Amino acid sequence: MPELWALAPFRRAIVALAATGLSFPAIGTYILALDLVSARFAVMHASLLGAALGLLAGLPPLASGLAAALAAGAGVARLSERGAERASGALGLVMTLSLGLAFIVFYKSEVNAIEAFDLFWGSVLALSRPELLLTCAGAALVLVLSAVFLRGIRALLYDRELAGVLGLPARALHYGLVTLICAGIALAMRVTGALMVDAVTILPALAARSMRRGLAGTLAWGAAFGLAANFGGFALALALDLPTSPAIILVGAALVLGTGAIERGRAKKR
Amino acid sequence: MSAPFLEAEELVLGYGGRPVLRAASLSVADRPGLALGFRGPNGAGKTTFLKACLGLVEPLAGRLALLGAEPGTRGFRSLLPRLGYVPQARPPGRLRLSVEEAVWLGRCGRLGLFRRPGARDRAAVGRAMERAGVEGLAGRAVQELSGGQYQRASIARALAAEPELLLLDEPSSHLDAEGRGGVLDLLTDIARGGAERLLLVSHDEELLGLCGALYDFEDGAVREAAPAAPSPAVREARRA
Repeated sequence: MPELWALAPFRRAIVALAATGLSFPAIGTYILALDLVSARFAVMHASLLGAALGLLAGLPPLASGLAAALAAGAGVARLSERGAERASGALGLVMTLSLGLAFIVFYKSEVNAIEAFDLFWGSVLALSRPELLLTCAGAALVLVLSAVFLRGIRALLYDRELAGVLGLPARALHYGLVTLICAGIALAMRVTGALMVDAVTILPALAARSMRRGLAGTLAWGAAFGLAANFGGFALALALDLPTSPAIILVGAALVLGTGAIERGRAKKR
Repeated sequence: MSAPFLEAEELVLGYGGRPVLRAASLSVADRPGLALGFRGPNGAGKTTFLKACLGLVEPLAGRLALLGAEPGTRGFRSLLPRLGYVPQARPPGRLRLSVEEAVWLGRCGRLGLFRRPGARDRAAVGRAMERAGVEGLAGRAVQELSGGQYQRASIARALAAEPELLLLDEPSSHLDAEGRGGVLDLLTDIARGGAERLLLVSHDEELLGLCGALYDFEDGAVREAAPAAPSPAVREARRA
């Protein structure tokens, strides 16, 4: 272990796993509560388009991908105001259109598509120092905003119409939360890869939901499960020579199945 | 002279430019403990009118004022924390909340986003849960409640705001006999107490018997109606 700790990529990975494990399950909890599971695909593809345009303009792909995710966030927030079912068609359009435009950029320019797709195949061991700083800043922002606006977020997730009638700025809270979700997805993509964003967001949130707590309790359990999945998966990857993100998924899935079994057991006793 | 309780002038309400309610005009004088009822078939615009009173539906034309404040104005925004709203029964969302946490949501308007709750807030929540008879359910998740229990928890949430006016949309619909009886008893007690004004949208004639003023909604129009005959329980409450 000491020889691994001497390696900068290893140290960066440990910090990123701690930051995302602690913070990003909150993003998963919000995605599940707002029924935005399908929206994250639209955000991922918008990020790919952003990365392609960034490469074309000579900008770092993570930064331009993040900017595109934030812009997509505003669109997703607007669409999700219509309700998850009515928004799904429009989100499908955003997803396909982003992918189509990204491929046109690749085809018509000198952009190396593989470099843009690096965003999809992110790895916690491949994080650069600026990427680590951005990820940690994003993780800290999620925690701070969740703590500061907990009351408003709780009201919003419970019933948005009611939150507005209570006199809370429900629309601003909704847009802010969806934008935060989209930024989180874009950052999680770099850590785990786009196809495995769920590993650090949805899986710990699902396990936390099985603990049957209120919002604050669910966020706390999500952080605990996120840390367990990230470090358990990382250890498993090192021990069995597995790729890191799939190993995190295995541990996260085991936590979801385990907590689900506990929940069913409790329900039978009641 | 105080502002009317509710005032509408040539009010047109609808969705997507399609009117549901056409040129409705009414004026209801304010008095303590007033209970106002909206009655009519489905699709007649009762709920739309109620939502317009809460600023959730913007008028297509005309003017509307609740307790002297027009929706969308600064005065209306300062009125919102003093209202208690119980929407038409719908399943609770995906966010798991205990009954106590759900009742605390009713305090959000008074607390805003950042103020820490104090003794008065805790007392208001405790009183609301006691009045609605949901203290025994405090730790239960709202998703696990029966229809009647959920509705009483919703009323407790509205009462936690210490509202000047309670607005209830079909509070007894879709409930079994026991659940409906519990809600009717609770609203009868609230009407008897007279501390809050009531605005009720309902098909339930017994519930509408609580209302001293009644409006019928039909074919896009609103007209004043004779109050419904109160049930024996309501008559007893009025005598008290």
